[in-house]
Amino acid sequence: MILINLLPDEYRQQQRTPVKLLAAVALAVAINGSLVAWWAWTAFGEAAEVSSELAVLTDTMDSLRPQIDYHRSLETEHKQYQAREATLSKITGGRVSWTRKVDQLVDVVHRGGEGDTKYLVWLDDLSTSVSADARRGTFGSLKASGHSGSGNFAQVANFLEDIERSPFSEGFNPPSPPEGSQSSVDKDLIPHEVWSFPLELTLLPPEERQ
Amino acid sequence: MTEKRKWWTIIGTGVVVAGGLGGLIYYQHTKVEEAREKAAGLTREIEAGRTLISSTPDLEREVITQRETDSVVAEILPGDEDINNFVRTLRNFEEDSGVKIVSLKEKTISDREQLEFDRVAYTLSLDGDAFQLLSFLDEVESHSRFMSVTNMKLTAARSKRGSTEQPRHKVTLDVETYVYEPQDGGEPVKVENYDRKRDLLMSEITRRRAELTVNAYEYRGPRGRRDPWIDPRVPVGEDGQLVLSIEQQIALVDELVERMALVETAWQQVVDAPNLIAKMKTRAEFDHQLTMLEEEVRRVTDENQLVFIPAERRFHSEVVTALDELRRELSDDRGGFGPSVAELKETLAAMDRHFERGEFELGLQAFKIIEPGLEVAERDDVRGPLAMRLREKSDIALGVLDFNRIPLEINGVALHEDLAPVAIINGKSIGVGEMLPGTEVVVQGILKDEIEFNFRGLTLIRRIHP
Repeated sequence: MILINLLPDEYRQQQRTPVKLLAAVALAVAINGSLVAWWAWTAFGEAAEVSSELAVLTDTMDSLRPQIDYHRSLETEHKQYQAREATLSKITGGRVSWTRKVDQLVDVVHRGGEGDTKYLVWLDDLSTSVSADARRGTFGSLKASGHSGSGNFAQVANFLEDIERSPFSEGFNPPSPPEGSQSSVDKDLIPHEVWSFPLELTLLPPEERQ
Repeated sequence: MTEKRKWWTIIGTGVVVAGGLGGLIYYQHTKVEEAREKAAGLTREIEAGRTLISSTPDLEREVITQRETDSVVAEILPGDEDINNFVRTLRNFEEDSGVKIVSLKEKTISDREQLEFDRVAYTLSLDGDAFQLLSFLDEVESHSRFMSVTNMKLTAARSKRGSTEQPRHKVTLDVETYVYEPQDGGEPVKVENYDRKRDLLMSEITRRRAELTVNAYEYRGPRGRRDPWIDPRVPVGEDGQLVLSIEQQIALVDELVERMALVETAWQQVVDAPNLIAKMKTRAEFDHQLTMLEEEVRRVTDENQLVFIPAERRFHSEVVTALDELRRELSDDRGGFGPSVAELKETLAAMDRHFERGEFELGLQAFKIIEPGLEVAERDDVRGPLAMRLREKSDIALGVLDFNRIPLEINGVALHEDLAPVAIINGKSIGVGEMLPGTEVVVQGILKDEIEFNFRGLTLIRRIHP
């Protein structure tokens, strides 16, 4: 159906946007305008600020990076030297100075005790070893077959006691208790009687030897 | 457009635009947040970097110190090319210590650990006495290259009774060393102004070098001690007893060695004397010390006081030989001038002391030392009389010694108031004034408990033992 308004213009009802509609459009425009403003603030304000901060930080970091790289390279070199020194320390720490030990043993044997505890001792052999078997708890030993030129077996005990008290015993566990047997009687030699005995000492762990 | 449609269009458009804008805002916000996180991350990184960099100078100093001390590590544990030097070094040790290396074998080592240093071991077989071995061990353990003796076996030499041959023990040693094999760690970092920074750290570098250096034991030689691997027992003497104990023999040699050193010092003072007066003063003291020492040496040798082989060997090498050398030096120093007055007087005194003890043989030995230059001294007015007296004393000693060699068995004497006394010597009766058959010995007097003889102008008395 077609409606035709035949009223003259001045009598016609004035055509205008309805208020509700206008309000709705206005609201929509306001909301979207706010959103645009928010976006604009985010994009051109906040983001730009962060971006500029980031750029500054990146520049700072870039300027620091060569120094950090230099530091890291130094660290790598330092670790290599440290590892080498640790290995060297491990190698040298495990060594026993047999010059010192044999020299000290010669001292004790030569001194031959003092006063009532004198003895005349000599050795047939010497066997030393250094090992590092921590699981078995063995770190080496010193063994020798000794002779005491006397019929008095107490002299062997005197000798072993001197061994234990002397600097020679440093780095060793105490010697095994005295034992022995009369090995020979030779009337053509002074002293005539000889007792044979073993001398056995085990090494302490390297860290306790230092 | 209907009213309703209008409304829908407006609402729809508004919502779509708002949704689009919301999306954009969300996207932008996410981006900003991401950027913020990145910035926070960078800030943390910068902080960490700054902290790290703040410790760079310390690290740099540490690395410079380590670089400079690495040469010590390389010296202690040199590279592979030095293994041949290691073997050469062992040869030098052999020469210096007096041991004899009889075999040298490389030992196979299986290393479970992967180290920067390769282990290299040699098994050495050698022989020598205890002090030669100690000297060798000392050379090995105190060498700048790190060497370690991991195993040692010594079997004592069997000493032959009465033999003066040097007993040499058989020794097997496992000597281990390490070869430095640096793993690829790249080029060292370039440090700005390295030399200047290194110079500033010199004291620290020196301290660290000292720390890394392996301290060795200071071995001070035999010091008069006996070899513990030699049976020290000595043969029983003629009377079943030992004249001097082993300790006494060692102490006696120690004392003589000490006196020898004093004599050498005294001689040096004579040589260094600034003027003639000082030379004469020091020379008198030297002559006295030398004569006294020689007197003691003659006695020790004559009485065979040293039967303990190591003591006897030391006595010969450090006293007798040293005295011979000093005498040669003295003779060279004298030139053709002969012995000094002090020397002649000291020799006379020494001969007198020997004679008082009945040591005519030793008195003669004292004379023989000075005899070569005596002819020159005899032509001198001051030394002449002294030289003459020395010759007289030498003749006395010779006479006594020759007389002692003549077999004289005194079987008895016959004394009677009215008759001339008679002695039965070597089964023959001999009276006063008679000469023993086949000798130059004349009986000069016969008493109850002794007979006086005259031999080459000397009066000699032989007591008659009951």
